[in-house]
Amino acid sequence: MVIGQSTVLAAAFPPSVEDFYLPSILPWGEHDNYWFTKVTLLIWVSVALLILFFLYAYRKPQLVPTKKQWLAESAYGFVRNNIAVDMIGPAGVRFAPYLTTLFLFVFVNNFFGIVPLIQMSPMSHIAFPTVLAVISYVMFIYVGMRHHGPLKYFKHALIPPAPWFILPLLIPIEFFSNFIVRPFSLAVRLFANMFAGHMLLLVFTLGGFAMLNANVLLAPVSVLSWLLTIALTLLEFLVICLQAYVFTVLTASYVQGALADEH
Amino acid sequence: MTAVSYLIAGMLVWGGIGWLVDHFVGTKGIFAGIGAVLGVAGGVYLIVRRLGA
Repeated sequence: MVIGQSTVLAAAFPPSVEDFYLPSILPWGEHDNYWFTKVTLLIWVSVALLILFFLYAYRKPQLVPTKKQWLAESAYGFVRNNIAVDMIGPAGVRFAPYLTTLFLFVFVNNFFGIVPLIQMSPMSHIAFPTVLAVISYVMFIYVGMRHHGPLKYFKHALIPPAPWFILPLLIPIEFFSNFIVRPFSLAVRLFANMFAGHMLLLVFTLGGFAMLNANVLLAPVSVLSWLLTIALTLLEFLVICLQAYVFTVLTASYVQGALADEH
Repeated sequence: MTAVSYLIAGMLVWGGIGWLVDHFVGTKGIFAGIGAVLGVAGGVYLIVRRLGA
């Protein structure tokens, strides 16, 4: 089912945004119907994969971890120790479950972008990073308000320690940078990286076909272009890990900022 | 990261306000320029106060 959709859909070169809108799965093959597409399917598959993996890995926990248990524990341990506790401090442990879920969810969905025959990351549609960014945004504001009380939190977040006459200059900057730029940059960073990665792979793959169609003598260059696609896929793997990590680290750092006491 | 965001936010906010002032007063961009410079100054000040020792 998915395989049928991942064959080169648009042989048109250069690739465009249209290539990100795959035909509908239910009803099958229909265009301009986006209720259930491959992207929808992939999101649910990633959710199911994560739930099943952790249920399976922790079904019979051993004191000396089995291989699958070790994998799950090291994923959780990595986020807890290297992101949550490192960024937030001892209080970060209670955010570790959410951060781990976030990290693995972003990672798995990004990873769909380079799995052969799937090769489409849901995160290259801005809707998904936006929802994740909104969750992080609401969370760090809520956590800050819980910790300091609403008034004191906004006072802490908006009013820097400065003489009164300079405050009118600084408060708009604080507001803009803390409450407008943050969710926006969080969502756009992830989206743009995945979008650009997919676009790049499309350019090199379809470019190979385009050159082959234009002139048979260009066949060696086409082959080179496809080899570069493989190399770029490996580069893309780096971007995938990095962006999942960056998204989680920034969420943790915003929570840390919301919890921080005045100094 | 935070530092860069403060700098850019400063320029955008005060440059934007300056641009609006230009728009209503009818000048050609002097207020946008002043605004951007002020914004960067504010951004640097914020970085020093919030992130400096």
